[in-house]
Amino acid sequence: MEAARLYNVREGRGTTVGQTAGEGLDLGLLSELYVVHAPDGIRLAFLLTGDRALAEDLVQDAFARLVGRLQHLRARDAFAAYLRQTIVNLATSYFRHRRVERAYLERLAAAPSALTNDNDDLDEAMHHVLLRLPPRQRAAIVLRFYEDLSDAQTAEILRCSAGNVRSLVSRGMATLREALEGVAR
Amino acid sequence: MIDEHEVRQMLARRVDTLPVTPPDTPTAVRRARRRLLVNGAVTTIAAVLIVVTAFAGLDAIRSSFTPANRPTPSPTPSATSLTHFAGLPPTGAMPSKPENDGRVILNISPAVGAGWNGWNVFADGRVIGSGEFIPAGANPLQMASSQQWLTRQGVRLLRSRILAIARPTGLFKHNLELGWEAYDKQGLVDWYQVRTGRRSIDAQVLGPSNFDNKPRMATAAQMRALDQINTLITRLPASAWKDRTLRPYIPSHYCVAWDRAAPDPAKLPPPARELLAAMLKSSRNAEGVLTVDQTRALFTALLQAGLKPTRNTPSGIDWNLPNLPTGIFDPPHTTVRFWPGLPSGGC
Repeated sequence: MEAARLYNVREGRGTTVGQTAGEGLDLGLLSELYVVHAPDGIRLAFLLTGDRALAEDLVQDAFARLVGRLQHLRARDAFAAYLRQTIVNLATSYFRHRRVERAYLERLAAAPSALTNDNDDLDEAMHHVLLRLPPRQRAAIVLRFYEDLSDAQTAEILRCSAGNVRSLVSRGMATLREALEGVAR
Repeated sequence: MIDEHEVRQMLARRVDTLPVTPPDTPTAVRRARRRLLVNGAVTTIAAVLIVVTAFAGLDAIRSSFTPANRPTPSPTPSATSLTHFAGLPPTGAMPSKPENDGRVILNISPAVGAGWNGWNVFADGRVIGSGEFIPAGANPLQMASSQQWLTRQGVRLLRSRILAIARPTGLFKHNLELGWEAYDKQGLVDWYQVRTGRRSIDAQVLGPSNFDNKPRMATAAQMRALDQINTLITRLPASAWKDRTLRPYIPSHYCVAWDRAAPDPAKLPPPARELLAAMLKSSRNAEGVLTVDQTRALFTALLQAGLKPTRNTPSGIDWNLPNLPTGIFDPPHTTVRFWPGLPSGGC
């Protein structure tokens, strides 16, 4: 039985998760749930924020929020999807509500002075430009091209239409191209 | 000109630069627990207010609380039906379907310890893994290999990420056999295979004891790329998975091989004698394939003959069987290894 519970936790299945929230605080299972889902979340948050420590903080916050309202989720099996959506929302609101985006972007604007054709340098430059995009354009690009979600799935997370997603991606890509013009592999 | 493909590759590589450190679980759990307690307190206060208000005569306010459906725990195989051998299915167990998935799209078999410790991805998206893919708490008698399912898009994504990591280092452009001195003592072999279109491209890394001729040596960049590839599947986005649940993979056949002179059935009592003779008859070049029923029957007979496996692990079951030594220095037994076969019909 222990193995079956572990498999369910690995999948974030409602069975164990629901029981955890409803029947008291089983810290062991909460830990397992976090260990299973946190790495994916941290990678997504890192791409959205460019900062490993901030990414982990956002994921912890998203996890706490999600566990807190677990009983009210419509589909508790979809813990990972809810976590992804919460991370995107928190990343967006982090930059908006704390009014630090401008200062943050200025700090990031110091792009590498000498770009070479080396993969690492170009990656870093491209990620810097990505982080300077408006939060929704950035989220749309990461969800489409890293998480590999469809336009419709991305639209659900960003609470907009699929057409709007395509527009966000297109504008973000145009900015990337413009900023990195002349830099080729 | 930056295109979508380059952005995808950049994102995958940026994620790979993240240090592999365990997440700060205690802090996260503490925060989650605090929020749960706050929610509980808020709920309690709200409930008290509702009751008080109701008693005050405001009938219009009603609780709309609906208890959540209590889910049913998933069934687990009965412990009493298990065999004594790691991963060997009990009588009547059905092999995992489909029994033949056709082409292997990716084969990642890094040299980690003895036996098979890697993962294979099939054309239909099935992922069969061993070693690190077995959950820490799993009973090895229940799960020797695991299976999960990627979406077809997930398979494409995984392959493109592997190629994005490997090709800048020269891997997977054509078949390569590389040497790596660090494998000196155990002569380990890494074997990687990626199918692109009709071609299947190999990259093998050998320890010096496996060198026939001095091969080209692997570069540090190539070894780093292979290290990244070993665990790449665990870093795929959730959308790449159709079913990420780790379930036991139940093989339809077992593979068998031995290293020295063939075992001698005449030195065993019946029924082990007849079963071993049948196995030898159907084998060639010290290798063979048995059905699960044949494997189970042979193991049972060997136990009845007073033998015990010298190794009983998810990646292989070894028996020392009496042989006819071909030289005076040869030991009087041969190590025969059995391991679960793959749904491609291969080993």
